[in-house]
Formats: sequence, C-alpha cells, structure tokens
Amino acid sequence: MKKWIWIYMLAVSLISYKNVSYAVETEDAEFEGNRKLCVVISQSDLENYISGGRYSLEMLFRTCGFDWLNYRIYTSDRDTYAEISYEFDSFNDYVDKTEQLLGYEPLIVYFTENGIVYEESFPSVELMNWLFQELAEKELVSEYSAEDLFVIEDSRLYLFGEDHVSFENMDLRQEELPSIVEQLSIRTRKAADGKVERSINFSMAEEVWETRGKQYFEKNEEYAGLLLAVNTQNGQTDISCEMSAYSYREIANQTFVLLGVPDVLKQEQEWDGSGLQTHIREIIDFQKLMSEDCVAEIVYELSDREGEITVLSEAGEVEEDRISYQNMEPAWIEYSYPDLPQFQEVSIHTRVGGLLGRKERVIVFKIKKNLAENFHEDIKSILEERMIRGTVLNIYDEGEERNYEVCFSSYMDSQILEFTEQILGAVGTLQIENNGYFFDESTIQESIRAADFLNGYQKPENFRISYELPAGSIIQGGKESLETDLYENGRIDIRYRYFDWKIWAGAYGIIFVTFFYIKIVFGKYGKGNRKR
Amino acid sequence: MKKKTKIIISLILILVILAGVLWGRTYQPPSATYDMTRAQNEETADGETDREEERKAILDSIGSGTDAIGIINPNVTCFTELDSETICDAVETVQLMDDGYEIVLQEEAAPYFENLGSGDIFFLDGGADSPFGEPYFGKIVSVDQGNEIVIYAENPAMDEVFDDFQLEIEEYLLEENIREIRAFDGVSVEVGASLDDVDLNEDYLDPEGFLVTSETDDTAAASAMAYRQTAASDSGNSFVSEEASFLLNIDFDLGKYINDMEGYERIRENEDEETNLAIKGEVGLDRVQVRANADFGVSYDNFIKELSAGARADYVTNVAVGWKAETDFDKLDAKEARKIEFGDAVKISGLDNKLFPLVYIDILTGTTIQLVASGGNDNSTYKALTNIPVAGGIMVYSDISGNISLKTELFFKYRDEIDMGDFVFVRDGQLVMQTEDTGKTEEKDPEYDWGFLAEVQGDVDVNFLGVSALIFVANINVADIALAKVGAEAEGELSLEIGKGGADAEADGYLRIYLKILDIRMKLKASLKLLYFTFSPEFSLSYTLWDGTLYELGEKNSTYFDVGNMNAGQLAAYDKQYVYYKDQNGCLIRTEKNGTGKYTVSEDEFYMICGIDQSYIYQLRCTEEQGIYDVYRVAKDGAGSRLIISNVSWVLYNDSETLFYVPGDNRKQIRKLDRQSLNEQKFADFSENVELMEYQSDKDTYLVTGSKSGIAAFLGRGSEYYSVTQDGTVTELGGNLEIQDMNLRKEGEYTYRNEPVSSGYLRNSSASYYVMIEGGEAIKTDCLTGWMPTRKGMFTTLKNDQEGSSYPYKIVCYTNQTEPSYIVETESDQAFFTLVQDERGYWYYFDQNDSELFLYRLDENFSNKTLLKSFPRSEVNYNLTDCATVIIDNIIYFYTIPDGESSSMIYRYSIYQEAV
Repeated sequence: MKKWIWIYMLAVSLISYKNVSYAVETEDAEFEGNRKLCVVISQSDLENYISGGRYSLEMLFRTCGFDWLNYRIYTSDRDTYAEISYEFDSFNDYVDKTEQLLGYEPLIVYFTENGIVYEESFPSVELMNWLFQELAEKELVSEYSAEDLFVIEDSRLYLFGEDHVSFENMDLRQEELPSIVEQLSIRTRKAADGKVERSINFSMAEEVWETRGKQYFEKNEEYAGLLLAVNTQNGQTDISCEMSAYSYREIANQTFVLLGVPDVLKQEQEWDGSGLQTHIREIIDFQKLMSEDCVAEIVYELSDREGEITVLSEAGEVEEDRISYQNMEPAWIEYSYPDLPQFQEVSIHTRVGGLLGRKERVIVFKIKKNLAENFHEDIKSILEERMIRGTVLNIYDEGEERNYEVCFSSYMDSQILEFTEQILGAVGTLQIENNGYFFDESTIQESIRAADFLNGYQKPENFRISYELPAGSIIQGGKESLETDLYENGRIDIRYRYFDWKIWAGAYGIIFVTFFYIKIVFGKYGKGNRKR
Repeated sequence: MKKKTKIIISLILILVILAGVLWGRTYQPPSATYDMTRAQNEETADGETDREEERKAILDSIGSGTDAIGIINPNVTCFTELDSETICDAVETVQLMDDGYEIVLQEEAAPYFENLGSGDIFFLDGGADSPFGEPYFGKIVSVDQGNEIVIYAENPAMDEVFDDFQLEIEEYLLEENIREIRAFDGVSVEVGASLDDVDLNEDYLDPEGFLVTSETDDTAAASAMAYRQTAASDSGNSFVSEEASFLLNIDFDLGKYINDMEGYERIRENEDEETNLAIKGEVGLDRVQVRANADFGVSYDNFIKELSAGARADYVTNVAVGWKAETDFDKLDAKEARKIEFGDAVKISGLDNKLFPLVYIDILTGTTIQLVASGGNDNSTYKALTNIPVAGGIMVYSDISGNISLKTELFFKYRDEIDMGDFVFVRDGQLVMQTEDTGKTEEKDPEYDWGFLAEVQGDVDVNFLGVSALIFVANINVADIALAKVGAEAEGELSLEIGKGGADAEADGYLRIYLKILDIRMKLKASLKLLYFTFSPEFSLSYTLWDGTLYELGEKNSTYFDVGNMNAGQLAAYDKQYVYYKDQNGCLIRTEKNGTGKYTVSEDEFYMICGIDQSYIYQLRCTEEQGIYDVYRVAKDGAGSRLIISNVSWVLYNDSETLFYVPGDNRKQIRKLDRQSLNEQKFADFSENVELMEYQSDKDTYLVTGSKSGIAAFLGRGSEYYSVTQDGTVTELGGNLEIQDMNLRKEGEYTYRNEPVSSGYLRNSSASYYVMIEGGEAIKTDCLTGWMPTRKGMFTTLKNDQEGSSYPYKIVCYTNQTEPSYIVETESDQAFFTLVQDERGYWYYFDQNDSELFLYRLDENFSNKTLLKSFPRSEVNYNLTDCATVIIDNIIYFYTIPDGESSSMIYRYSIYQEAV
C-alpha cells in the first residue's frame, strides 16, 4: 500500500513537471537587416525647447536601457544630429524593438507571396518617440511633439539585401501604387458613445476596377479584415467601406491597410489652463492612389458636444457641423475642441490561481500624466467611491502615463464580477470552470457589456482584457487567446488544460495529517500501551 | 481521556479549521489607497525640509543673521585668527602665474603647510590689508619647502570648497561700494556719467586710413592710475548710494604692450613689423545688476537644487577697433600681458579665459555670505568663520584665439537695455537649461550699426570687445556673465568691406561677424545629482542666450574625415588630391600626388601629424613640458593655423567627426573634441593611464589599454584592457585579453588578431599577433622585434638559420598558413618595418649595417633583390630602430622619430625617377 502511494505521487510529480514549458514559435529567418534613423535638431530648438540641450539628449541616450540600440550624437554647422540604428534577425524581433521605440505596436504590412510587399504605417520620425517620451517624462520638453522637434536627416531600412530610404513611412513595394481613383471621399465622425466612425467612398471606371483596382483593393480588404461594398453602374464602379473604432489610431491603421497609403491620425488631449482640449490631427497622403483629375474630399462631422471648434490647419472650410477639405495633397487636417478627458486605456488583467487559489484581478486606468494632474483628485475619489471591501487602489506614474490600478482578489467568481461591475459601471458575466484535477478541460468565459467607465470621462481609447493562467497550462488557441479587445469582441473565451499538483499535494497532506492525528489520538499510543 | 471526549474535541477542531478556511476564503480587508505620485512629492519635500532646517539650526547655532551660507568642506584646511595673521605676515610675494598664484612665504609659515600637498585646499582668512585683500581659497598645485615656502595655488571651484552652499543674490552695483578699478593706461573710467553723453553719430573710425590712437600721454596714464588709487582707498569721495554708471573712454594701442612683451619676438611673423591693435571709443554701462542663485549640498549626496545666473545693464558702446597683425595669438602668454597692468589681481580672468582684460571694476554688493567651518569627530560641530560681502565685478576685455594675419577695421555702435532674463541651469532639482524672463524689461529693438573692413588670412576667433559681469565669493568665481560680445570668426582668405547695409567682399573662406548676448558660465567640479539623473559638469555649465550673426560669408570649412580617401601617418598624410608631409626643414609641405606643385602650408615647427580632414591637417606641437603637446589645426590651403587643444598627452584616434585624446593633466581619461564646433568633453574614465585606443569594427567598440605600474607591472600584468562603447561606457576586460576579445582585422586575404599594449612615438606595441588560418584556428606568430601587418601579409623577422649566409636575420610573412613564407635575408632586425609596395607591385625596404644604409627593391613575389641606393652612415646616421617608411603614390617617405620631442624626414624618394 505504502509503495503504491509513493510511486503514484512520483508519477504525478513527473507529469506535472513536464508540462511547465511552452513551445517556441518558429521565426522567419529571411527577415533580417538593420534600421537606421538620423534626425537633426536645430540649434535654436535645442536651446529653446529642450531643457539641458544636447546634454539632456546624451544623458537620455546613455540611460535609455535599450542595449540593442546603437546611437550617436554629433554636431555639425551648429545643429545637433541624433542617429540611432538597430539590427534585427526576424520579423518579430523587428516589431518588438520598433514597438519599444514607438511606444505602441506598429502596423506593418508584410507578405511575400506575390513579390515583396512591405509597408510601415508609422512615419519614420516616430522611431524617436521613446526619446521624446523620456524628455517629456523628465519634464525636459514642453509644447512640442517629436515630429515638430526632430527633422529627419536620414532614414533607411536594410532588408532583403537592399538599402531602402524613406523619410516618411517605409514602403518597399516594388510596384507603384495604382493611380486609378477618380473620386475619393473620406468622412469621419465621432458617435455619441465615443466611437470613431469612418466611411471611405471612392470610384473609378469599371474597366480600371476590373483590370487593376479589384486585385489591389481586394487584397487590402482581406488583410484589413474589412468589407468593401462594390457597386458598378453605367461603366463606373463605386466602392465604399465602413470602419469604426474607439481609437483614432485604429481608424488610421485600417485606412492605411485598406488604401495602402500612409495615414497619420492622432488624437491628443491637452489642458490649456482653463479646460481640456481635444486636438485632432490627420495627415493622409493619397496622391499616389489618385488619377490626375481626381476630386478628393475629407470631411469631419462634428457632434453637438464638441463645442467651439478651433481649426488649426489651413484650407479647411468650417460649416456648422463639419469641417471639410478638398483636393489637398497631402491632406492635413488639424482642429481642436473642448472635450471630456479620455483614458488611453482601461485594461483588465486576471491571474487565475489553481483549483483552490485566489483569482486576482487588476483593472488599470491609464491616462496621460499631464492630464491626470488636473483630474487626479476627481478620478481618485470616483474610484474610491466605487471600491468594495478588499479593493486596493494604487496610483503611480509610469513613463508619461499615470496609472490608477484597482486590485481585488477573491476565491469567488461572483466577488470578482461584482468588483468589476462596480469599478467599470458595467454589466457582465464571468464563469470560470476549473478542472485541473487531471488534465480535464477548464474554461473561462467572461463578457463585459455596457461599461460606463467613469462619469464625466470619455470611453477609453482601448479596452482590453487579459488572463494569466496557472503555470503549466496547455492553452487551446495559443497564448494569443489569453488577451482580447473588449470593444471588438465584448467577451473572452479561454480553454485550457492543466494539472494542479498543489491540490493533490494538499489532499495528500491532509490525508497524512489526518492519518497521524487518528493514529496519535485514537491509536495504540493513545491507549497508554507504550512499550517500556 | 475518554474516546467520546476525544471525538468531541476532534469535531470542534474540524469545525474550527473549516470555519477558519471559510473565513480565510471570504474575508476581505478594508479598502486602501496608495497614491505614490503624492508620496514622491512629499518625500522630496521632506528631504528638502530636513536640509533647510539643518541649515537654519547651523545658522542659529552660530548666531548668523544671513541666509546665505557656505559650509566649508572639512577637508579644507582653514587658517583663521592668529594662524591667518601669522601666515599673512609671513607672505613675501604673491605673483600671478598661469591660472593661479605663486605665493612665497617665510620659513615661519612652514608648519602650516607641512601636511598639505597637491590637490589640497586651504582657506586663508584676511581683511583688506592681507596679501589678497580679502579671504582667499587656494587649491595647491605644488608646495616647495626650503628656506622659504613656495606655494603654487589655483582657484578652486565652488563645490570643491563648500559642502553646502546657498547664495541668492539680486543686486544693483552701487557707486559707494566700488572697491577697486584696474585699467590699462589709455582706458579711463568715469563714474556717475550719463550714458546719453555717448554719441552714436560720432565716427571714431578714420575712413581714410588705419585707425590711429592718440599717444597715451603721461597725464592720461597718471589720471587712470590716480583714479585707480582713489577708488581703492580714498574714502573722502562723495559717492552716493545709487546704481553705478560707468563711462569708459578707450584710446590706446594694445599692440604696444604686446610688442614689448617678453618673448613676443618668438611669435611675431615679421620681425620688422609691429603688431598694431588699437581700440578707440566709449563704452557706457548703467544700472548694472547681477543675479545668481546657487543652492547645492555636496554632503547631501551631491544634490543640487538651484543654479541660475543673469545680469542686466543699460549698455551703450561706440568703438572702433583697428588691428594690423601677423601673430599666432595661441602662442601668446596672456598672463604676461595681464601682469603688466593688472599686477596681482585675483579676479582678472573669470571662468571664461580673457586674453586682454582692459578694465576690471571690483564692487561689493549688499549681500553677505556666512562662511562656516565644520569640525568635530563627525563634522557635526560648526564654527562661524567670517561673514563676507559677495563681490560683483565688471570687466571689459578683448579676446583672440587663433593664428591671424590681417588688416582690419571695425566700428560697432550699440545701445540697448540688456536683460533677457536669468539663465536657469537647475531649478528645484531639475535640469532646466532655459532662460527665464525676469519680466522687468520692456522689449525694444536695440539701436546699432556696424562696419567691417578687412583683409584676413587665418583661422581665428576675435572677440573685439566683451563686457562681463562677474560674481565672486572671496576669490571663487560663482558666475561669469558676458553681457555682450562682438567679434568675428574667420577661416581662409578674405578681403571685404561690409556694413549693416551691404557688403563688398571677395572671399575664399568663411567669415562670421557675431554679437553674443548674455554668455553665461558657472562651474562645478563634481557630478550633480538631480531629481531624475546625474548631470556631469564635464559638459560645462555654459550657455549663450543669443548668438546672433550680423554677417556671414562663405561656408564653414568641413571637418569630415573621409576614411576611404584620407590617411594621416606620422610625418605624412594624404587626401584625394594632395600629399602633405614634413620636409627636411620641418615645414608642412603640400604637393600634388605625383609630387609636383610644392606648396608650403605652414612653416611652424611641429612634432607629428595626428589627423586630417576635409579642410585641415592636425599637428602635435611640443610644449615646454616633456611629453605634453598642443594640438593645432592647420588649414590645408595655408590660410593659417589655430590651437585647438592645449596640454595633450597623446592623440589616440580620429573618426569622421571626432578627435579622441588623453589630456596631459589626467592620463586616466579620454576626452573627445568635435572638430567642427571645437566643443570638447569627457569620453570615458579609466583606472589606469591610457596608452592606446583602437576601433574594433566587428564589435563597434573601442579597445583601450591602460598601463599598470608598480608591483602589478613587475608581476607581468603590464596592461589593463577595457572595452568602450560609442557612448563611453567602459567594461573592464582585465589584464589578460582572450583571443576573441583581441582586435580582429582583415587585410587582403588574411585575418589576424593582436593584443595591443601601448602607443609609441613611432610604432604601437603589441604583446602578440595571431593569424587566422583556414578552419578558423588562430596561430600565434613568432617574432624577434615586432610585427608589421600589410595587405599582403604580416611581416616579421626571425633569426636566419641558412647555413653559410652572412645575413643574421630573415624577413618572413604570415598570411593564412600555419608556417610563414620566407621573404629575404637582412642585416638589420628592423628592416621589415620599412617594407612598402608601390602600385606596380614592387617592394622596397631599407637595411643597414655598421657602415651603410641600403635601399633595396624586390619583385612582387619577393624575388630579384636589387640594390637601388646606398648611403654612408657617416651621412645618414640614423638607426632603423627609430625609422619608418611610408609610400604614397609611388613616393617613399623615410623618416625618423627617435623620441617624444623630435622627428625629421630623412629621405623623400620618387621611385619613378630613381628606381626604374
């Protein structure tokens, strides 16, 4: 009997140990090269807008912590040049490093089935975002953005054995973009729920569509995951597409993928001393896409809530409820209006323990630090009012963001759900079925609907949920399935298998303790027949 | 115990455990909020409060009534009361030297300086009758104890003296507080004059001829001297307590001082021609205000809270400057010039070196600072030393750097209220480096006019006239604020007549006429800890608020080093078009690559060429101190030369924009100079003296060697190795270099690694060389006297084992094979160092025996040894150990560098003419 117990426990231990490791993904070996960017900062800008001037730059480069990043700062003709370069040996490596420099995940179109198609959505100068963020975090710069301060001197990507140079977004397409669009209309509006909606309509001759346009746009359609409505009448083909997202960046990304032209669309919020202003700026260069006599129109439809609009870019016509621009190449739209503050992201992260473990949930509200200074006490008091017993609110700065991290842990799903609904003002369901006794399938199903977030604040740009499973879990659908965009999907479903050796160890422990307890209390020693 | 009881107890136990588990699983602690953003601020505020309270307690304990305080570092030796009196009495002479003072004391002061040595700082208390006229801080450079004590001391920086320092000053300089005025003869200072008296319509510049100054007559000189004495000592003057205004009448020829200066003949280009540097006109200053805020605590982890400075003044000037000079001002001993008129004045230089201070006005401010000494076992007891007024000075000066050959006249008229705000280096613990408008100045356009007539050939920066406000605590310069500087920087040959309205110019060079407003400098030695990062003052706390270009002509010379088309050897260099070499007379010569078109670029003696770029040749020139050099840049077109770095131990490396060197006063450091801007800064520090720096292209790092000394060197660890990244991050590699850490070089068809040791005058030394043979194995090469890698292979010499041969040595060549190939037999074990190959493939080398020096030629495959020339040793008696050869476009340059002071070209040999 005893032998059997020991063999059983040993076997269980071995099985559970074996399943701790994860598989390693295969990387694309051909995607290797070098990225280089050199920017020039004029002497007057350096002196007037960067505290500490060149000294600050050198300090920040020295302490940036990117050990893979080569850099050089030098002066020529009284201007200061900052040059960075880094090597990559796979697509993932490039994206990872680039993301660290940009501060956000870059959108890169890359496929090689029909020749090399490679295009980046971000303007090259944004590779200096990290530097600008460091400057901002250390309060060494004000008012300016990276694009305003840094002028590109050189930007190149060495890839597929060739050096590619582009001062805008990197585009390695071997074939020219088809200049075929005859009419283009881009209409953007912000819905009452805070969602940004964009409709893109364009047209061309039917023959052009059939011979050139169809192939080009249908490929982009597939890649972007959007649906093109195509209508052909009287020899003319009209194409339209609708897209929506809570973040302007996402809208820009979708536009970029669909049309294949760079689109930089940003929303920034600033406190102007008396109130909060939302600043919208879009630069879209669709020149290569259009035929010579093309008519282009870009319209921003404004909601009632947007108040007094200040148009900062030239050539825009302001009507009562819209700003329209026509035939500008590239189009530059810039306006601002009084607005409610918006969180950059609200994220829900849950760590699922073992069968008997606690579930720990952290909801993080991220907002720009400079905005947070004006709303700090308000956000804090709203969250404190919503906190149920056991909740901990940590407030801390990370980079140029301020995080309001609300933490709660419980053994009970109902309490986790109550906490979530309370903090987010949401309705949701949460069901965690944990079957880790012996590799049975466990499931997590959670939906969060109708979240109000905080009163007096816009819905955040991003709303995400993620889970962290017990070590050794085998996830069906891969690690990607552990995280999702709640705006897009509204729910998360996770299926996994694991073996909770702790529960078994605990059970055996209890059996042993009970056994010895009974032996001592009720056994022969307890009877006083101890041998002398 | 009964079984029933046990069961009941067991059940209770189970229930308690279950209840506990249930409670544990459902219990939630009270909610809590942790706001780290506020905690950080409060923490900082608490730290600051502690520091301020501590200061207040110290001030209370010593009964001081001022907020400004300087707590002297316990390592500073303070001589006060009887001690200071004894020392002051023992002072025999105080003499201004380079950047410091030579103080000669009688023997009775010896005990006070027994334990003081180089680097130590002392404080000597004293009043107006003391040798320095006020308390004095000295940082000892050397002490010589004999019958009399000779101390050489320089001015220390603020944070070398003070552990804790707080000074906030915003003061107008008052007439009644003028302590002293020192001026060159020919410069008179009128106090209390109205600036409206300066007429900007008056023209001092003589349009018909070169500016001529009035002869300085005895009366004028006496007047200036008399005034000087009056201001310094006569308390009978009826000064009133209002902002001081000064009107400087300048009418003198600075050239006469230079011409009379000791040693000037050494630097004068033309012995018959005297330098003429005449300045004529008026400078007016009114309502001069100095502002500074310095607050730092060395004892508080080097934390610096505030550092800012600024000044204002109503400023008017109408001056004309005439210069006629062919002078290398970099060679000028400016201290000599100062000593002529300024004697032992402590404060004539300020933080920014000024070549010719014309006037210095020393004015006490109403702000006083309490100097406090700390002592006791834990330095927790404090003693008030003295409460001294902070001094504010005004200096008018002229400054030049570079080699100049020019005839020029400039007039400059300017009237403005100069106050663009304070420049804040640090505010509240954060690096700011920005101007803060004081908001007290109404903005209005300055009234100005200028004209420039010049024929210039040179490489020069002439600051015709500068006006600075200085702030001192004793002799320590807290801030140096140049209110205005007008000047010109020029490169090349220029002939022009320009003015505000237009220009008539012929130029083959670059010219910029500039006006700089508020050029501010503050100086701290230590690394400063700010809230977010450590700020190294190696970058220098200097800032120019407005560097305005009045006129610009041409483009500044490019200083790009194109490694593909340029190379600088020791006595010869080349670029795409020309070859530059040191000829037998020591001049720098330029020729076309085929050897024609000889042109003397510079006749100045130099030791070695240490760099080349698009526009300049860089030279090491010997100084009086052995092993210390000055680095000059010489325009390739012969337009002039200019001192760019002084006091250099060795130039290590040049990259496309930067020159790396070891400073003479700190051989454990590498500094770098941006050749375009001439800004220099620290690159990296090391634990040993730097010997050599080589770029490792495979790692994109530099390999630096340091020389061990003492027991470590004796035990065989002669070198310490470091890997340095491009940003100056140093990684110690230890005393033994692994093969993979050695320099990897590919030459032609073979690859080698070497273990460098040090730079030499003639050749760098290495501990070993490895060639990489097929399969990647590294073969260590044998040698007798060293190695010489070339594209063909690595040459070295071995004992000649050929029986019957009269040649004791043979040259061998390592490539990618295990064994070296035989090249040729030689008489000297140094001959292989001279092997060079021409464009057709022929090899040449020098060999020597006791009586002759030979030049041989070999075929491409090292066969057919031909004697080209032989030289009797009686004529060319150089040892090949001290010689090297370089070939540039089929011309052989054979030269010698026997030591660290001399070098010469022995032979320049065209192989087309002679050998074929």
